[in-house]
Amino acid sequence: MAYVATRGGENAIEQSQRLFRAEMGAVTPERVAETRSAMPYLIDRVMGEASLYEEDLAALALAQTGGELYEAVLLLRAWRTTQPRLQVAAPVTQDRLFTHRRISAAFKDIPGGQVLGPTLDYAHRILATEVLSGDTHIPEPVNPSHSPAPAHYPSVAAWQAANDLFSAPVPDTTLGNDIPDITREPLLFPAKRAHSLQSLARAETGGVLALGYAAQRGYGQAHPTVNELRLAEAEVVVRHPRGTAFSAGRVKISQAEVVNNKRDQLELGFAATLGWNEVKVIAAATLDLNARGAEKGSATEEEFFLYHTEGVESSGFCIHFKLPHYVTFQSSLDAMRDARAQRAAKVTDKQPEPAE
Amino acid sequence: MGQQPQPSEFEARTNAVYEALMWALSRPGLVRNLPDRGVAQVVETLIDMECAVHCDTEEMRGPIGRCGASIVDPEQADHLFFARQPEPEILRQLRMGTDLHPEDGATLIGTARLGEGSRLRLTGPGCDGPVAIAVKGLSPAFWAERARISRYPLGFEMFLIDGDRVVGVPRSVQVEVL
Repeated sequence: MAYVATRGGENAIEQSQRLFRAEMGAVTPERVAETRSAMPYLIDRVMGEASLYEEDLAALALAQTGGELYEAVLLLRAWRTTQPRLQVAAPVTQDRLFTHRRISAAFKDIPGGQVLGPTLDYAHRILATEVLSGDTHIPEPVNPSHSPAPAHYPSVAAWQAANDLFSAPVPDTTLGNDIPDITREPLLFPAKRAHSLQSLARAETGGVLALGYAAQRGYGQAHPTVNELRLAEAEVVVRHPRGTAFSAGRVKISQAEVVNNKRDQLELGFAATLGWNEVKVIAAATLDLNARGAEKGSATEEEFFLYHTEGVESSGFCIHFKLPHYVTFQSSLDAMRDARAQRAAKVTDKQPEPAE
Repeated sequence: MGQQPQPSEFEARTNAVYEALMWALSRPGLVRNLPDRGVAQVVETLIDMECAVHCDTEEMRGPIGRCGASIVDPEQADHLFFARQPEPEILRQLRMGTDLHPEDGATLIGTARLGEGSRLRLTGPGCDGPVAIAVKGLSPAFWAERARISRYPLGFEMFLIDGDRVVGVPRSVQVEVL
């Protein structure tokens, strides 16, 4: 790709950036705080795609870019690379998650029961237009139940494995710095299991949905049933230099397990991400379920969907086409004109080929 | 968005050391000045919890451990600190990287006297013609062994530290003992 060096337009470039930023006005601490508290799901989505769990920074990135999500994620990923790595937290298991919501579409009576938690699944989708005419929309308060629900619930898959419905995956005992890290290493194929799951975790939500939906509609080999969908908070357990393990706080996570029942045993697809983002984890788990044995070049093949749902790379590639391609384009035009001239010359002098 | 983040004192210090080390590798054989004396500044600059480090003295274990790194045998180490003269045999245990990942090659940090001892001639990328230096503290057998096992792009980098001065010898450079 031959670009020309951008020269002489420095003032124009400076002013174009000012125009972009003038549109959203001053970025104030109040605006960042309001963004953070008013849009937790947007914050979660951005944090998941950035692989950086920091609500204030995510809110700042959104405020600073005026909600241009690709720019916001890029800002956060760039910031993330500047930070030192202090610790690798201990692994979390499903049954230790502080669970807000856990449902199964496959089994009604899962151990621990269905926990609906916060959701709009059964809501009427009605726009609160009264707010635009000056009213304040105050959400109805939640009626607390008499006894608090338990914080921890067993994994549905573990219960199924115990009942011989499918063979549980072999536990991966890799720890600490030995865990492959997609933020540091290139994605190579066939991908390591850790790289696949990490790529899906930081993938762009819309991209994962598009390819996951294609698989769900029938362009994949396996139809998913949501075995378990969980919104939870995970303890970040780190170790003090003196050796004491302690929780440095909790991060919101979502995870989905989908199953396929076409064969004699259930097959499992899994995805998890930082933040609460149900659509993404269900679509991603569907892709994971479909990846095994997928045809080369199909949208459910791992290489295809991992490459094409990488939001920073794909959006960056897409917008790079705006940069001046004058030299390459001029060269294609020259080749086109040349081909045309040659064709025209052939038509005018239709001389017989010289005899051999 | 205008304001630049301000580096902390630690960041400013280690950035200066890092810059000196980068210049040392970019211009092999030319002496660069470090902000401070000794190897401790290199430890705090290069070593963090993701490093696997080997050292030949007990005193180094403290500073390395405080950076969170694990202390390992030479074969597993990505950084090796030598306070004493390393034997040529140690080179055969060093990580040299692989063709796919040459960056896995080790970095060896040793103390030496610069400007006295064996005269060396360095040639290769970054050397403006042959560069001559004198180094005391590494035997001719060490350099011969380095030449024997080096197969670019596989290899290892070296920093030789004398007080507040450092010389870099990257894997891409050929070293002759004169």
